[in-house]
Amino acid sequence: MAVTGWKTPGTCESVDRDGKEAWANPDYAKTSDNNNAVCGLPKTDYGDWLRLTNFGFAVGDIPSGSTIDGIEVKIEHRAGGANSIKDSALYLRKTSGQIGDNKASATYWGTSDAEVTYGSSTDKWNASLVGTDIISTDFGIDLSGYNASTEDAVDALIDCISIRVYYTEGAFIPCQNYYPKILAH
Amino acid sequence: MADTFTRATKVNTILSQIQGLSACPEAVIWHQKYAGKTLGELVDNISDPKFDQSWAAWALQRIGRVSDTTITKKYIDKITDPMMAFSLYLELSWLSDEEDKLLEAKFKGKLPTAEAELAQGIVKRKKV
Repeated sequence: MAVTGWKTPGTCESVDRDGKEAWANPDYAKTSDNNNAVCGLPKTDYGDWLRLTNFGFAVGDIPSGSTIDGIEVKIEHRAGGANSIKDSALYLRKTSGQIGDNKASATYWGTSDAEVTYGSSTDKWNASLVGTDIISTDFGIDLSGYNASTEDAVDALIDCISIRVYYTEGAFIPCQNYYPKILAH
Repeated sequence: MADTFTRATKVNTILSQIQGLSACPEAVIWHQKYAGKTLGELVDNISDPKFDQSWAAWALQRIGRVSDTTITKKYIDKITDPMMAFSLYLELSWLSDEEDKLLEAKFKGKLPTAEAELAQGIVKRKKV
């Protein structure tokens, strides 16, 4: 099994989810620099989608014919208040839209920056992904936060999100296996 | 907090309490339409799309403990978001077994990470 390097999104946007609160500065989720995409979540409510795509995976990262073994997503986040913000929903997405499991964790985000990893080298997220799905600029993540506080609106802050992919290269097929077919034409 | 809220409770008697519990202004305005009516009439109409499911989650957390189960079940019915249901399942220590099942049906099998965290004790229910 091989693994790609960590890749960060080339495109970050706030996308409507049931008319909820939008993300400000979504582009700040591109790099880990302590500038944050922010969603001010009302009490007992979730927010809009933070949609991250265009992670820049190429054929050089995942060779043609590879089998996808697992996906890891690393999110650097924090909450504006203790015991308030958690994930509402976290999905992978490809050209057709959201796919596979909702990986949302019920653990509260801390009030200082921390990296949390979702998935593993063997976790396919029930997403049935192939290499071309991941190489597509539409491959990425949809994330929405939830504020469990009944008292106050609280900010959900994302510093950076990155993805890496575990894969097994397809078996090498010697060229001579094809010669008889070519000669037959 | 006052006596148990039932379907017969007058909405007027809870409006000021709800405001005192920091309900959001939009929710207070919606509830004021039912001034003079009963809480039963109010919860029968929370399928109104203008009544946000986040208000039902808030009501369950702030007044659910002192509400009759005919009221709380209406609020639970309104919840559709799996993580909202899961969070209430963790937080509400007073839920009856029947109310537990209603909430479980809204997230079971839909949140593999969160459900594993509960099974492993990483997050815990307040109900014992």
